[in-house]
Amino acid sequence: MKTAKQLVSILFILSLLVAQFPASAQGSLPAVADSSQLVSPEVLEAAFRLQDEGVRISFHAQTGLVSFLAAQEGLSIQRLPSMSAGDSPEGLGRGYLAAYGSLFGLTGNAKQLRAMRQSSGENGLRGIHFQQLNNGIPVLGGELIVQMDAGGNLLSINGEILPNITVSTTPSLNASAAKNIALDLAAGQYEVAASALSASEPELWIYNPVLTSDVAGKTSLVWRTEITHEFAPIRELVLVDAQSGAIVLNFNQVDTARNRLTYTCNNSGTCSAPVLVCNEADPTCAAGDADAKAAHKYAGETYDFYKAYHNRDSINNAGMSLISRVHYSSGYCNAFWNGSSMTYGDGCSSSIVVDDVVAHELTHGVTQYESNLVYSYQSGAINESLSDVWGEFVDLTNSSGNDAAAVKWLMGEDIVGTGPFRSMKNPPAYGDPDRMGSPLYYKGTGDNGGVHTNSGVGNKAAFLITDGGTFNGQTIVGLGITKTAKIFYRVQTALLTSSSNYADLGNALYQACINLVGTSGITTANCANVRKATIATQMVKDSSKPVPLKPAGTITDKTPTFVWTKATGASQYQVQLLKGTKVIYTFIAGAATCKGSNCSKTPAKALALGTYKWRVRPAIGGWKAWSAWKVFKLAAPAAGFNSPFTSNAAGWAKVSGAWALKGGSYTSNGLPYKWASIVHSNNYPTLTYSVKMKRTGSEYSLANAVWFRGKATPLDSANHWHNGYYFAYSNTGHFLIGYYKSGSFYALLPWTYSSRISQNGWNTLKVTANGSYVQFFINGTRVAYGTVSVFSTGQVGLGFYRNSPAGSLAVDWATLAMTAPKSIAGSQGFNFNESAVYQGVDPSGFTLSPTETPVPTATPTLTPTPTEVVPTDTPTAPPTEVPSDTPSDIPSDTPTDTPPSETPTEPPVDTPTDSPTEPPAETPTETPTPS
Amino acid sequence: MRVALVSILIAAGLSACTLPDPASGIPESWHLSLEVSGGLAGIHRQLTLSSLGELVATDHNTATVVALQISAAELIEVANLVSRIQLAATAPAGSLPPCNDCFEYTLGISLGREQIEIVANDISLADSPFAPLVSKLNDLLQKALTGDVD
Repeated sequence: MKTAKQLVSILFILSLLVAQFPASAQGSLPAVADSSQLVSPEVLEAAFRLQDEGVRISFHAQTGLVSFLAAQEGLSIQRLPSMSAGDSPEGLGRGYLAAYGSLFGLTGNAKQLRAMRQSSGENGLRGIHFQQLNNGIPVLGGELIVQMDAGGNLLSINGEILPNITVSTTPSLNASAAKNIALDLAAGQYEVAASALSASEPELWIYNPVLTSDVAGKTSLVWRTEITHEFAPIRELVLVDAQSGAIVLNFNQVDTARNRLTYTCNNSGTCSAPVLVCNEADPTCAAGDADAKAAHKYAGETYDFYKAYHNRDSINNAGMSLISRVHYSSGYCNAFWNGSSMTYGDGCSSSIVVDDVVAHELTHGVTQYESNLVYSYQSGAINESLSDVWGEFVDLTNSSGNDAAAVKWLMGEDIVGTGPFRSMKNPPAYGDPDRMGSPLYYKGTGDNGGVHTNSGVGNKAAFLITDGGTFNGQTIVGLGITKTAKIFYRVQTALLTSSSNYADLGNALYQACINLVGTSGITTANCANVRKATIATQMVKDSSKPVPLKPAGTITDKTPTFVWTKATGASQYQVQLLKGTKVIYTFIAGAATCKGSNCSKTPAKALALGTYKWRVRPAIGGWKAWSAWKVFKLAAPAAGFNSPFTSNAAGWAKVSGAWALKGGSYTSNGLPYKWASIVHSNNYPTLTYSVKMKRTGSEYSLANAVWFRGKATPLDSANHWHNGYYFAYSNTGHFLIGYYKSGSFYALLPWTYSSRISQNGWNTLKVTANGSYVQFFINGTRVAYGTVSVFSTGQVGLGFYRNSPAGSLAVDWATLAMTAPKSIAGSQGFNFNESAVYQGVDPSGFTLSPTETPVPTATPTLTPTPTEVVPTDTPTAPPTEVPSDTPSDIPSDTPTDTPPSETPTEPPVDTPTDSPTEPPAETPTETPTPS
Repeated sequence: MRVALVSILIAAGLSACTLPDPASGIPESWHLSLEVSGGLAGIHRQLTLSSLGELVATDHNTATVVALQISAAELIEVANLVSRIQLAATAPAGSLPPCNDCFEYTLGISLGREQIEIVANDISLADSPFAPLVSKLNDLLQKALTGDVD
């Protein structure tokens, strides 16, 4: 209890306050002080005197008014003489505020306060909670709490009062309009339909941010409403200015700590009506089965990891709910992130809901809200890799599941019988690449461009940065999980864009490290190791070391040009060429030989045939280390071929379907609904390629074709080559020209009628290609020509497409010469434009179906109709068999070089015939091609 | 790369089995293909199936190819699913709904001269009329690759 001296002093001070505010002596509350003056000197003096007497007092930082007043610990301030112990808490509270209220800014009458609620505690403690009013309208944050002991003596007063309110309390905006404004705001903010939200009935309030924040502002009359959502954790407080309709304040009152909502789909494939199993109120998901428990648990652990390591508040860093859905579909062995929730099937051999998988899926959400990496090709592979990185980091730090050394860096190792499915330490163990140049790097279109395969590159880098090791010529000292996590998080949240590729990731990892030097113990030496990891995985090049590029593989040029990458800071380079162990020559190349990122030089010395290796080293303040060896083979130029198919098919290989020599032809019965094709062994950049073939069977519209500058593998699902130029005809009398690239077909000329085609008879297709110039002939007549640039070399082949009815293709002969006109003369045939490809063309066969009508993406030089006669190819036009002594600008159908080395027993004839036995011949009747 | 070519020929007694009558609306001749890729594990599998019951299943990740003849019962089940396909009423595929780690399905259907290709993922497939056929083919694909065929 207070001493008598203290009580006397306090009563004296109170008498001063009462004297200053006479109204209070009459039971009225003091008026609110002027906030611009903060508080009067007299009140301050009284407050300081109370402090001197041991009363504890604190001041509001913005208003300067008292916000806390309390007796010393263990003591109370004796009730005033006008009070009795039996008075109600509200009466006592109002009495104390009449005495001390001026310190808090109260100046008005009792109507300025409304008793909101009472509280009681042990030892008879009582409290009364007052709400500040202005003309009957509550003030947001304007509240005072008076605490008393069992005898009614004062323990404390705390709270804030908004002083000097002069705002109009008559709204211009009605409540309904305010409600709609608030709903629209929340719908936009949370990206939900306004119809899914509900709003409480708006109430008029007075608001000034000075009481609820550190910011001073004007006092406003506002409509106050709360917006809620049936499922989502939304309880948005919205204040709408009652005069202007502007949003004055809004925030979600739901605690932004982790908020898990775990549902079951009950094995529904659509999961359109998921059932909530557990939420944050059930932290162990006691109400759920094993999958629900695991989803709930690991979602929480992943949240905790992001919170602990990066102070990240959930997926969107704003408290987003962690929605998990288990038992998706039936027999479904997979997990996915659909943009708002994590979904797990239960069709694996054991539960797929394991820690690294959950963290993997949740991280897809984090990525969505950060870099938003596009989910295809390299950016998609990085997206996947980031999910693997955080999946493994959570796995290794959460003390759940199997974290033994043998399974460290494995994804899904806890899925018994199904997992693991990736290794970050050794991606090739699961068929994934560990560097950009790996032969395992997937270049197809499946799996969104191999996002789950090519993630191996990023995964390997993450492993090397964390644990270190020697890989691809680089020795890396590991940084450990904490530093690596900091760097990756910085990359993910600050440096990557939606289209980032692996080169960007390589640069970003190093830059993130540099930016973080001095934090979390990260050093520049760490960053050097990060750089090494990105070099080792070939995300970035080691710019200090030149890399030999060409010659490589098999070449035919006896004086090859040597090409290598430029090394930063190099003044000159030394190149060394060996054959076996014998040095053939060494040469020096100055930095001036470099253009762009490469350097090159062509020594004059001619080389003999054989296998060589060469290397290069830079001079950067002295000669540096040699590069790795580059091997090449100098071979005699490949010859063309002449394949009469009378006794063998030398040089040819079956790509698909069964092929056999039969009656002087190479014949196949094809495959139902697929292509059957053969390919010749060599690559030919320049060529004159001719094939005489005959299609039998009732499928007149289907394609019979030759390929050039192509590659027989891979094949699409119908066995068509993925890459190469394509020239086809059908027995309906139509032909087609185009190319396949990465499995997609581009028509340069759609199916077009030509009278030159012998329907159901023998037809000779011929192609000439030299550089970008290509020409197409049918039975000696040029039907099309143009320039191309997609493929510069490749294999040649032939084949046909079949549906169900029986049919066959007989190939009488095929020839190829490695020469062709270097330019195109004349205007016979269609002149196509490679930049104007046609869409919707079926390469497998001619059809008049509207869906297959060619639609050019740009206007070609000529726009033929798909069904009728080619103007320059009319039957009335003179055939190409011009007199041999007549000069002509019409390209001939005859290669200009010597006949192929394999001379057939009987020379082939390049004219339509029904006889399959006539071998190919270089007929002298056609005019040599001007070149 | 190791290529395992497994040929499983099952005496299905096709000559004795009765294929659906074309007059009943079930096409006499068709050819189906299904490519499944993606998923959390990043699979890449392919199936082709003809109306004669010739099935070829390929797992590109393991370089495994399995060729087999499906049973008459399986073939009739697939034929019935094919008969319900309304190619003409098929809307052109739009962009797929976003989904990380979903499976992506490319279904090719050839019915005589008519051909169509449908691309879907787990989300878009759920409400698709092709879902039963894709599900059946996917089931056959998995069974073929695991040797668990009837």
